[in-house]
Parts: sequence; structure tokens; C-alpha cells
Amino acid sequence: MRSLFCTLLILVPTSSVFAAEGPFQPNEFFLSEATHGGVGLIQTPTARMKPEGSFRLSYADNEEYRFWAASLQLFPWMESTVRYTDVRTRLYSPFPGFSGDQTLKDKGIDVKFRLLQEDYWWPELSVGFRDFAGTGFFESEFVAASKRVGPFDLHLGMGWGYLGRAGNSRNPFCDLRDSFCQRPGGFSGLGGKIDYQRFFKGPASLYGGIEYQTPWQPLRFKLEYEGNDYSRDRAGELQQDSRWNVAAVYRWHNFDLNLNYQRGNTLGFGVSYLMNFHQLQQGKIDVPPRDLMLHSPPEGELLQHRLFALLREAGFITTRMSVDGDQITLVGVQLKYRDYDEAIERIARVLATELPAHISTYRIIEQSDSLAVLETVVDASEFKAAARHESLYAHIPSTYVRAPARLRSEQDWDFAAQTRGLGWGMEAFWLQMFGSPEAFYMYQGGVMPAVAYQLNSNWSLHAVGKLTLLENFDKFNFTVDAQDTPLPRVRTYVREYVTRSRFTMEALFGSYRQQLSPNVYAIGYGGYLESMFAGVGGEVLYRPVDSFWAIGLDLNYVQQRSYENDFDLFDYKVMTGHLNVYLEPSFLPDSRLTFNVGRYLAGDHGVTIDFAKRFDSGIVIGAFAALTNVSAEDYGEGSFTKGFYLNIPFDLMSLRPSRGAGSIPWSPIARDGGQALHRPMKLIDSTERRSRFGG
Amino acid sequence: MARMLTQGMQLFCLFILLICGAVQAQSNSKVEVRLPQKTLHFETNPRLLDVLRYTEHDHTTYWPAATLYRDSSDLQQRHQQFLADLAELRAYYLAREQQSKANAIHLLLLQVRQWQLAERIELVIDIDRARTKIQYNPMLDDGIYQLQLSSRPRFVFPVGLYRETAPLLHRRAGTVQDYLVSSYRLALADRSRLLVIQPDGSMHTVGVAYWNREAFEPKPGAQLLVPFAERALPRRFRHLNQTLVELAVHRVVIE
Repeated sequence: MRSLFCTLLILVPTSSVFAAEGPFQPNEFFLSEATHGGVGLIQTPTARMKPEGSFRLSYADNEEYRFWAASLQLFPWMESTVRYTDVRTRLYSPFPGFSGDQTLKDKGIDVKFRLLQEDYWWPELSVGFRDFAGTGFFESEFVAASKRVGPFDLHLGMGWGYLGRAGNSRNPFCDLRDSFCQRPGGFSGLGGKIDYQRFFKGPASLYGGIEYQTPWQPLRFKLEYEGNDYSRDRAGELQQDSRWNVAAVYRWHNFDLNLNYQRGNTLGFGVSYLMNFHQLQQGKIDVPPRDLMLHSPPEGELLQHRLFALLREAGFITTRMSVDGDQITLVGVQLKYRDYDEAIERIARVLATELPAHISTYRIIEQSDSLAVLETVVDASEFKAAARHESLYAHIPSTYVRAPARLRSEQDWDFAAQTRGLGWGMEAFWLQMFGSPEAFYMYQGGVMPAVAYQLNSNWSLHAVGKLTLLENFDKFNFTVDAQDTPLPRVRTYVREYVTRSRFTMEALFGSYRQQLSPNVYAIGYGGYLESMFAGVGGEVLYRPVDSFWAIGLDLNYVQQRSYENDFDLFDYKVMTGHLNVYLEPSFLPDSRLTFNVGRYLAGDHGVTIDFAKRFDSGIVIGAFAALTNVSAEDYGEGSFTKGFYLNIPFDLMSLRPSRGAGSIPWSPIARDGGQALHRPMKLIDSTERRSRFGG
Repeated sequence: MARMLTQGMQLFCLFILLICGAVQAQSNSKVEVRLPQKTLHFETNPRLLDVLRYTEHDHTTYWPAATLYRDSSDLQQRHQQFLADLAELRAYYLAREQQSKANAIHLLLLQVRQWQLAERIELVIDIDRARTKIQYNPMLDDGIYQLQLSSRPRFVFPVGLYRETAPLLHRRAGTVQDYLVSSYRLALADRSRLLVIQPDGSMHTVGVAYWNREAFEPKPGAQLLVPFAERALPRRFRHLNQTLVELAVHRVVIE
């Protein structure tokens, strides 16, 4: 739930600055969004896909609806869209005391898969599902084909559900099986589930259109024939004077502005902003990497403080050092450079220009949360030759290897920094909820000061506070929903917790961590672990370096915290824990799949499946779903816990390099089933440098 | 007199020795660089700038087209293997009486046989950059090189599955569509895509058909490579498309 505000606002100018990179080449043909978000004509989707990593925020407006959509090209063959709809002609609820005069809102998720790439003879062919998980105002399925001919892009599709409501053609599946002739009504569970039993059933319509790229580069026209008759719209039955819609799209920098005329009687407009998560970058004000042509090792003894100061400039805070014959071992923390190769190159450049020539091996051990995570072994002479470009094939990353790190005993070190000490930090947080009855956007923001006292390299104490600086949570009409739930209320008291006080104690705990073997880590913790639970727990993780898999186990015995004050506890106690499997399959590049199998806070059993994809800019986007033995009826609205998250490196928004990242979560509705403990420390995060997925 | 003769003999011997020494030094040189007008020998590995200095009096050099090639026996072997594979492919089509395909391969074979191949070093060559930044002034590894420097090239070079491979005059602001005549494509050619190998060695796939046309401007000296259509070749010959592209990158283009 925590995140950094302003993230998206700052990203916008960042991307536009760098959008025009590469050789000059007029963009002969650009793709634009449909009203509902995602590449398409006006009301209907087409088979077209944006380049991988494209992210588009769009807003569309007409007489009855407003649409806010975010669309991401996750893979070259998969587009995903999330959308909020404002039904301007309907109220959120008939009860002013509950939702005031707010109009009806709904969220929707679309997905589109490419089946065939366009070629000389073949069109591009895609299948898609619109608004498939939710209460489904616009629930539809479609198959669409697109073929470009010169400046024209021709589209033909068949839609079912909302897109096919006019039933202008026969449903071909109806010929195969009778069950496809009728579309079942309602929705299963309490919304939020995928109603695949309705897919491709009921009336179907052919739809299509033409896009024309005018000789004037920024301008494009669209003509569309749609297969919906608006007879059962959420906004009521809408008058349709024509099935033909027209639009003009004008591209201005990264913005698409469009004006359209729909149903023969309604004017609409929209704007969308395009960026690419692969290409986002930010220029930096930074010291240049140390130049081996300008610097050479100083005469005389190695000056430790000078070396450490230079290493600090390379982002590396040295905690231990030893020189044994012809090799040096350095242990420390990288605070500055997110990119691993850049971090190692900068450190090695300092060592190459400061250490005596006879030192032939640099062993750089990176620590995280006091655990030795990764050892990089640099061949000094090869590195120096590469850094001085003494070959036409010089390649710095080929001069070092990654290996599991393990620290030796304290006495072996020529230098060892004090491990006992006090540290502090501060993080910003931003809680947000979309679509609440009181107001569409509910937010709470502030800072979380944190203090930690390190007793030795294994033991430490932590305290985290939460100070609210701005919010509109005072608009809450209720703090606990009125649903009659058979589950223990492990998360649905959330409004009580976040509104109790401007300053709260979030966490207060002690922790112990230990590396058991080169590839096995363990931690234990006890105290107030998160805002809603206190207790004891621990985790073990096996994670080889650069392995496509890792496995871990966590176990916790926790008791619910009171929302009335900082220190009291409620009676509810539970044993919770999971077997955690992490996979980075080679067939899904830059992706991680996580399976957490076990017992949740409400005592339910099941699995959380999490899929995360990392883009070249460092942005990670993920989605998760928790499937447990709680029935949809017992769970309540939404049927099961699910959500999305977007992690954005601060590095993308600042002029100075940094390693932090902000997270923007989006959980449509989260109730009590499938809820895991927010563990205060996770070994997969501490050991992230062991995988290239972590940077 | 006899003394003078002796001195003369000594001088002569010294001269001979010096020449022998120089030849010796040449045959021991680690790096040999052939320039358009002369050949340089270096006993220690030179940096690029050490080579470029011999050309700095020539102010007509067009640096974007400057290329460094290195002799490579491996590449010559691949060249021969590719020619052998093409001959086999031609025989394959002849055996099946697919005359137009066999002819296309024959024409390609004749064309590729003419290619002079050397390893193209991936490097931006520019005397001003080499003076200012070390990454543009790398050290040359042991070997025999050919540094190709010229004034601004006047031509672009169609290659691959294309009937007319004579150089075409470069057109200012001309796109790939301005150079190629679609009916000149041979059987088995990709009708939709073209590979532009720019004189700096960078490669771009460009759409050229009715459905994917792009406006892409080749630089003077670029090669316009018409590749095989995807899946046009029998499965066991499909790797030839990639080999064709790789060899074209290492082709020494002489205007």
C-alpha cells in the first residue's frame, strides 16, 4: 500500500525528453487508442499491438461515460489494459448518506493476445477479452484481423457480449454447440472472477473499420462500423442513429488528441499519453568513472582513507577489507548504482588506479541487510586492459565473474568497520483507493521515519513510525463494512488502522539473520511486525547465484494488533506461513513467477501466484492473485484477493543515481481471504543482487 | 686505396645489415595496416590514432564511411562453406526441376563468389573522436588490417537476392524505396523486408512492401541486402539466410 507520490507526474516529462532518440525516420504509421483504452478504432478494438514496453495513459469523454485507462504492452504478443469508467448518468448508489452525489464508477481489465503476425499475405490476428474480470459493464470477447495497405489500415472483427450486442451475424460457435447460442446472465461469485463460462456465447456481431494516415504526419482519420446497439448499456438504453462512428486523431509530441462522433448523435473527445518502459531514462549529474588513462597508483603505502573515500564516490561503503598476497577482498554496501555492471566497473576503476600493480584479483563482496550476498571476482590485469581499450574487443563485463559470497571470521580482516551502531532513514508513503463510495479517489500520504540499532552483524532492533501529512480519509462514512463475513477480520479493519491517529507506530521488532551456507540464508524476527499484526517468525531461503529458481520457507505465529492504540493486541492469533518458489523462466524474458503456497492470516489455505516483468528502464510491473479454500460467497465482494503493482526506480526521476524504488499498488478490493502477513524483512529482497532480475 | 676499399666494403656491409634488419623488423611486426596508399608495420601494438595520423593530411576523408577490416581465415572458411552450401541448394532445386529458384541461387552464388571478405571491426572511426576519447582510440590486436578511407561514397550497393547488383548513385534524402525495383527481386527473395547495412556496420530491417512500408534513408556507401523470404528455403538450408547477412556485414565494399 505504500508508494511514493508524484511518481507518474514526474515520469511524464522524463520520457518526452528522450522519446525522440535514434536515427531520424518519419513515423509513417502510428497506432492510437480506442475510447476504452488499448489499441483500436473508436469503440472497437483492432488486432494491432504496440511495441513491447509501450505504456499509454488515456482519458476519453462522451455524453454518458468517462474512461480513464492505462494500457501496457507486456510482451510483443500481449496487451493488457486496466480502466475506470464513470457512468455520468447514474449515481454510485441510491443512498446519499453512503455515496453522496458521486456518479457510478466501475473498473475493468482487458487483455489481448496476438495469434498471428502480419505478413505479405496474412493479416495480423488477435483475440481479446474486454472487462473480463469484474462486474463487467462492457464484458466482451473478440477476434480481430488487421491488414495495412499503404496509408490505410483495414480492420475486421467479430465481437461477442457488449461488442456483439446487435447480433448482426450468426455466432459461428452456435453452429457447433447449442450452449453457445445463449449468453448466461449475471456474474459468478461476488464479482471479480473470470466468467469463462460466458466466453464467446450469445449474439455475435461483425465489426470493422478503416484508419487512414493522411500525408500530414500527425493527423489520422478513423471510420468504424460497430456491432453494439447500446440496447442494454449501463448508462441506460442509448439512442443509436447510426452504427458508423468517425474520429480524427492528432499526435502532438507524446500526446494523441482525438475528436470523434459516435452513434450519429454524440460528440466525444479523448487524450492519451504514450511512453515506453523499455526506453525511459534520465540524464545524470555525476562524477565520471575514474579514468585509467589519467590516474595511476600513487607512490608509497596504500592510503586506506583515500581508497575508501574514492570507493564511496563509486557508491560503495566499505565495511571490511583484507589484502592477502596478490588479492584484495572488499566487503561493503552499494548505495548508489542500481545497475550492477556500472557499480562493479566504477569500483574496479578505483581499485585499478589506487592499488599497487602486483594485486591481480579484486574480490568485491556486496552486502545487503548485513548479509553477504554476492561476490564479484575481477581479474585485475584483464580489467585494466579492457578499461584502457587495449584491444578492439575490449569488454569490461567479461573481466569478472559472479559467485556466492560468504564472509570469513572477523579476525581475518585488515580493516573491519564497527558493526554496532545506530542508523535511521525516512521513506515517503502514499495510500490510495480508487472507486470508494465517498469519493472516487481516496488518498493518504506522509512519511515513515525508521530507526535501527545494530547490535552486531546478526542482531538488530528496528522501529518504524508513520506520520500522515495530507489525506482525505476524513471523508470516510464508515470504517468497517456491513458485510456479514464468516472469516476473521484480518484486513477489513484497515480503515480503523489508517484513521486512528496522525502518528502511529507501524513496527517495532528485533531481528536475527545468518548465512547458513554459501547459498542458504535465514532470518528470524519478533515484535510488532506490521501495522496489523505482532508476533514471531522466521524464514529460510535457498538461492544460488544467477539461478533460474530459488526456494524458501517462512513460518510466523502472530496476533492481531489493536486499532485503538499502538501497543495492545486483540485476541485473534494464527500460525501462518508459506513455501515460496521463485522462477525466472528463460522463455519469458525478464520475468519472475512466484508461488507462495501455505496458510494465510484468516487461517485459509491456498496459493498466491505473482507474475512480475522487468523492463529495461528498471520499472517492474506485476500482478498477483491469491486462490484459497475460501469460497467466493464467504470472501465477499471481489471473490478473491488480487491486484497489480508498479515499482519505479527513483533513479528514473532524479538527477543523481540512487538504488531506491517506489511502489504503486493497485488492489481493486482486498478483503480477508488470501491475505498474507506483511513480513518486515524478506530474504528474496535482501538477496536481490543474486539475480539479474534485481538489476 | 686498399684502406678506402676496406672502408667502402664496411659501409656496404653495414648498409646491407641495416636493410636486413629493417626487413627483419618488418617480418617481426605484430600489426600490419594496409592504407589506400601505403602499408604500415608496427612492432608494438598501435592505437587507432597512431594509424590515423598517417592520413591526417588528407582532408577529404569521409569518416562515417571509414571502416577497419581484419584478415580472418575463419571468415574465408565460412565464405567457402557458404558457396558450397549454395551449390548444394542449387542442385536441390535442379533435382526438383524448380528452375527459377535454381537460377536465383546461381545468380546469388556468382555474386557472393566475388565478395572480398574480412572481419569488419565494430568501431566508430573518426580522427577527432580518436583524439579526444579513449574508447574511440583502442589498441589494435596483433593481425593484418585494412583501413578503408575514402571521400564521401557516391553509391549504394544492392546485394543479395536481387537481379541488378550494380552500384546505384546515392540520392540525397532518398529512401530505400527510391533504389529498388520490386520486379528485380529473384525467386525466394523476401518481398516485405530489406536489410540496410550502413557504412558504419549498423544494420536495420526496413519494411518495403505495401503493408509495412517505411521511409528509411540509407547512408552513402550502404548495402541494401534483399534476404531470403522467411521459411522459403527447405528446413536444412534455412540457416543460409543468417549466414548471408553475416557475410554481407563483413564484405569489403570498394567503390
